[in-house]
Amino acid sequence: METNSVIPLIAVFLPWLAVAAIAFLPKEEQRLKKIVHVAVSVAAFGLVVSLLPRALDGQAFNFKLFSITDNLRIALRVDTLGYYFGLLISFMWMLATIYSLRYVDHKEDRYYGFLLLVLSFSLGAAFAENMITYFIFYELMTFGSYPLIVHEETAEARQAALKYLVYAIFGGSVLLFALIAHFYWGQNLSFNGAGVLSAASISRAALITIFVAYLVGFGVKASIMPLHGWVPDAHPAAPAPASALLSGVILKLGAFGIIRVVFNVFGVALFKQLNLDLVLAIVASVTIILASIFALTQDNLKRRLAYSSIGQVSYILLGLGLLSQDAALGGVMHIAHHALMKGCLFFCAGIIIIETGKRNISDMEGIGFRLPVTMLCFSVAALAMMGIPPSAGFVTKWLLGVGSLQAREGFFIIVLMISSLLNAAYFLPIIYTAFFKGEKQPLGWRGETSKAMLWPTCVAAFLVVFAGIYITMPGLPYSLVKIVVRAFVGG
Amino acid sequence: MLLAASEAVEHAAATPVHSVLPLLLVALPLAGALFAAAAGKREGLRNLLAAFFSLATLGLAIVLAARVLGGSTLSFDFGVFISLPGVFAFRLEVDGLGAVFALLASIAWAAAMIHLADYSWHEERRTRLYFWMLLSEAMTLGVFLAPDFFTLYVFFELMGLAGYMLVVHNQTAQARAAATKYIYLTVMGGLSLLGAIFLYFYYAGTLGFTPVAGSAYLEAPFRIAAIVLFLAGFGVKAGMVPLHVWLPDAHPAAPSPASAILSGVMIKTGVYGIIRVVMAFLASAPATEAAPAVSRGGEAAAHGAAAVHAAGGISHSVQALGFAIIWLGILTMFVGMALALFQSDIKRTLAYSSVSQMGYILLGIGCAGYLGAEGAMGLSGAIYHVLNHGLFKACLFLAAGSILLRAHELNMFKLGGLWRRMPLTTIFWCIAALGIMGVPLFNGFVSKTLLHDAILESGHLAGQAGNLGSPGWFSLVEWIFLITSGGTICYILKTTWYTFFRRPETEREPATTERAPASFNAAHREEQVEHASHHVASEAPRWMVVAVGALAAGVLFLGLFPGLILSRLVTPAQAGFAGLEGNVSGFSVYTLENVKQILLPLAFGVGLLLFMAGLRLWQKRLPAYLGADYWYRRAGAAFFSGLRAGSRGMEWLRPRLGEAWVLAAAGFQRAAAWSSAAGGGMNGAIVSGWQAFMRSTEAVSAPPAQARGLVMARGAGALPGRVRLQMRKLVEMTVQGSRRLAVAVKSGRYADFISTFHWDLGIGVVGISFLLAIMLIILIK
Repeated sequence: METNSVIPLIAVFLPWLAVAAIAFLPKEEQRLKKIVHVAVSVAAFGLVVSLLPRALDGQAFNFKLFSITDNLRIALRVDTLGYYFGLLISFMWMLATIYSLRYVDHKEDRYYGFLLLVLSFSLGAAFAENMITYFIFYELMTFGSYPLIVHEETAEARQAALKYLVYAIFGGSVLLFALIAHFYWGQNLSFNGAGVLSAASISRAALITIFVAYLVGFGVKASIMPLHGWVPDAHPAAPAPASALLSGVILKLGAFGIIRVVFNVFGVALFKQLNLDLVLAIVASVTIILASIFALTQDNLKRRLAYSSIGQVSYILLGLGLLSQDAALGGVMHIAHHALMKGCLFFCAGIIIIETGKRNISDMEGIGFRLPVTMLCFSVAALAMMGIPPSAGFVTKWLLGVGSLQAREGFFIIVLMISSLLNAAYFLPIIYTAFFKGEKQPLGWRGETSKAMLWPTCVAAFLVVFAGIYITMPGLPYSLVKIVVRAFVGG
Repeated sequence: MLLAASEAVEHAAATPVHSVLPLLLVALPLAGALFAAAAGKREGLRNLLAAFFSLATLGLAIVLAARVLGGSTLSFDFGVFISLPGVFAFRLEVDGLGAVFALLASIAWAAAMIHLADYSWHEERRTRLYFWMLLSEAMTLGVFLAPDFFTLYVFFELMGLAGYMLVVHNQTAQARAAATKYIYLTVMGGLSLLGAIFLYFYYAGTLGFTPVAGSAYLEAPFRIAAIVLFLAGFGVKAGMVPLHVWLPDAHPAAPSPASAILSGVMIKTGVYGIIRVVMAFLASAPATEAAPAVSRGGEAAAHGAAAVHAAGGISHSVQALGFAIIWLGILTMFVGMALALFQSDIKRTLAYSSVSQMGYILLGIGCAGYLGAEGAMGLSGAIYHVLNHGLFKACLFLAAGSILLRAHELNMFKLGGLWRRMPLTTIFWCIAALGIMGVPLFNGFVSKTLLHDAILESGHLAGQAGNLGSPGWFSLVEWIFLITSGGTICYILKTTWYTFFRRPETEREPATTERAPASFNAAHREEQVEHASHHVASEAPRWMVVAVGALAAGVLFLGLFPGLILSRLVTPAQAGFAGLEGNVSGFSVYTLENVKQILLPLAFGVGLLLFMAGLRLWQKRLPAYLGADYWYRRAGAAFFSGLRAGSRGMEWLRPRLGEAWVLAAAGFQRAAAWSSAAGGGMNGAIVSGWQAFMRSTEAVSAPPAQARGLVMARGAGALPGRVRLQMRKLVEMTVQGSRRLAVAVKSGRYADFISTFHWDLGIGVVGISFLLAIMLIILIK
């Protein structure tokens, strides 16, 4: 079912209102500007939500912008997969924008301007109809997020941001090559359909070249090892809401690109026929294990969380590599589940930094008493990351585990188990240090931190649990992803 | 044969009745936890609420057990909550086994909560303790009310986490270390359980406790992997050797009422799981063929070779599983007993004793698996022993709590003569002690008799052709069983004697004090004097005595009326198991022959007691490397030192990588300088070209002084002033940048150039040109 709708277009360009507000409102009107920023992010989320009933029916929304040539156009098409990701993006952005109100305290115009621009670009990428549109928005997002990473303007932040750019430009060049190769051989960049490349007209070597180029290009964002180098530097340097978005959304844009490549460009059948699924699964497994081991040795909390993100994004790719019905379901659902969990964890890390100035785990003795609600949320999200039921993380782990047996590749269960064990080994000491180490202190329930930071954290923590209890609720990941998986993987 | 099979199927498929009872049973303690937390600082109200909710749970459990053991299956469906269509569904459903376990759990918890009402004054953070006690009750009951491995797993994990809060509660260094060990082993156990459930789900075709008939689950490699993981997962919780290492640390570290339920009930969840696994196995084999050799060994040939071969394969695997569990059980019971002998802390003794008693239960389950369809004796022994151990171990731990409260001491060698000051506690302790020793008229005797008979039956079966093992193996099992029973008698007598009956050190002549253990030094003696005069004043507070007494009454009841328990509780508990034939409800326990069985362990136990007391062996320590714990610690340390070495390597590598970059940059620099010097340099040429161009425009259009501005003004005459200014700036910056680049290239000083370069601008330019390039490529195409 296809309908033409202008709503996606409005949602994509609505954040520019905030840029306009920054440009035209006088400098003193900081308060009014902030209201505009929050209103814009809420409105973007509301617009996306307004499409939910029709999206749940499996409808796709089209809006063609313009054509470059006959078979090359810039267009938006919100299919269920794109809608799912767009919903997540707008929701996470709403939380992060509200959270930023208290977190960001200098150069706010620059920060909010780019924050909302990147929302616009990310939504555009999620809603892209074809690879060229995706690529343009993706690259804009890449450059737009540079000011967010460099925001603190410390030497460390500059270094990290420079590193980010070098990696991103490298990834972008490879991606451009992939795009050109794709267009040259395939003549069709559209995402509309389950696989536009076919082994009949394109040689095997060409197909593999295209895939590897896409994998490397998107892999920089999706932080596949060894292309992950920028992630553990950029996350601790960026402000907490920006880290939450980096982990929650921007890394996923890479993974989302790979999902598009597998589902829409290659199609599941061709992908399996070329044995690329196993390649992807092995690459993802190596990343999962190594990243978890690296995370163990980090003392800086945000750095540890960053390494954890590297591993968790590869869960998505693992699900995609196994490509059985349940594994694909688990992998694609993990985009949202991980965004909620890691978003919550980064929000907590930010509150810790603002309220106590502590960045290293070894300094956090007894912090659970100073910040009880925060650390409770942190514990919930961390336990969910370990896959304790009932939680979003558990659902994903279960689906991936069952899915790996469905794919007849039971070996990957061992990867999941080792990874969960390592997750426990690097998350439990944080909870332990926060609550059970150090002197007994009075609880600081009141005046723990400002509401603008606490509420988004609590909402994320609540959803982490809720998404593991009422799993099938319309609007939560399962309801949308099952349509996607049914369409592309079958079952 | 067919008839029997269809009967079994009908039996298993008794339609469940929808009922809110199971939900209420989980929800009541949960509500209690919330109410207790809400009452918070109003301590009297909180204690009352907690006791009320745990007693209400007990009442509900009795109602539920009465209905379920009467023959109906109660279920409750959560609908959309925690369920994924076609993947898993969260439901509660109670069959006989679950009801019996739930009944035991609610009894133990009710006693512990009543005990806690007086005990909790001894503790800090009391509300937290109440909250987690009641929460862990809800989760434990959930494990027993689960109809499938999924629901069981959810509750099992949550119970494991709640258990962490109980173990860590005191937050002393010792408690924290114990809790850390506990949580890592729990997580590992949970993960192997999850792996096992994946395998089970996929190959058995269901998450329920009965595999789909003819499923691939019965093929060897997956089944063995699943079983090993199942045993590891549940074995950690059950304290099975060699996964028991957390238990002797964790149980003594918790507050006494928490130890009572940790040891009394929560480790039983592991046993419960293992029973489910073995029974799942048994049910997956056709009932009549599960153990062909038992009853119709002679007839087997008549059924045709092929059928026997297929059935034999299945029955053989059930038997192998049972045989493995028997040996794990034997190992567990012996190791636990041997270690309990050498403890001086009462609670540590009881904790090792729990490990040992779990071995008895595992032995019973193993015999049930080994005997197959005729395994009712082993299973009944195991279930009966679960009930017994729940009662007497909870009773002993609660009594230990009373001792700690009054005497402020748990080292049995520093205590003594408590019977005079705490007569009621002493009596109840002795009843429970007689129970665990297996003395006739007390409950332990009944279960140990059943277990002993199960060993004999298994030995008999092993003597027949086509079965695993041989009678010799089983006589070895029997001997270890008897020796362990003797050792149990020894360490329980020792604990009882030193704690309650020996004259305390302070009342003795100085000469006799020297006979005390070596660690007993002068400083301790002074403490002891103080304790004796001030603290060991009187009987334990009222509610503590009531709780301990209630459990002791249970011990007596189960010992005095074994027939009733066997026919009303233990046999109906096995009703749901397809593939299990026969029952032991008519078994008579108190025959002369059975009673005579106690004599050998009793003689051995008393002899051992005298021997060890005479040689003062109580304080001897075995070398650490004999324990599994030592090797786990070594492995963990090795892993982390490997990790540290790895990260040190990275640290070493990083500056060297940096040096490599510097070298490469220097090489590049030299090459650039050379090219620049040799040919004037391409960059230099471009810059000079640009400058020449600028100069030429200046020369043509206007006097040199104003040239550049005029060119700009003319070229962009139509644009507004601000834009013109910006454009001019841009051009000037580009020119300046190129100049600096040229200077840098000529002089070889890149650092200056890099530090002054406008990176933001440069990157923007690169990004935009990147996009433009794409557009260009596309348009050309």
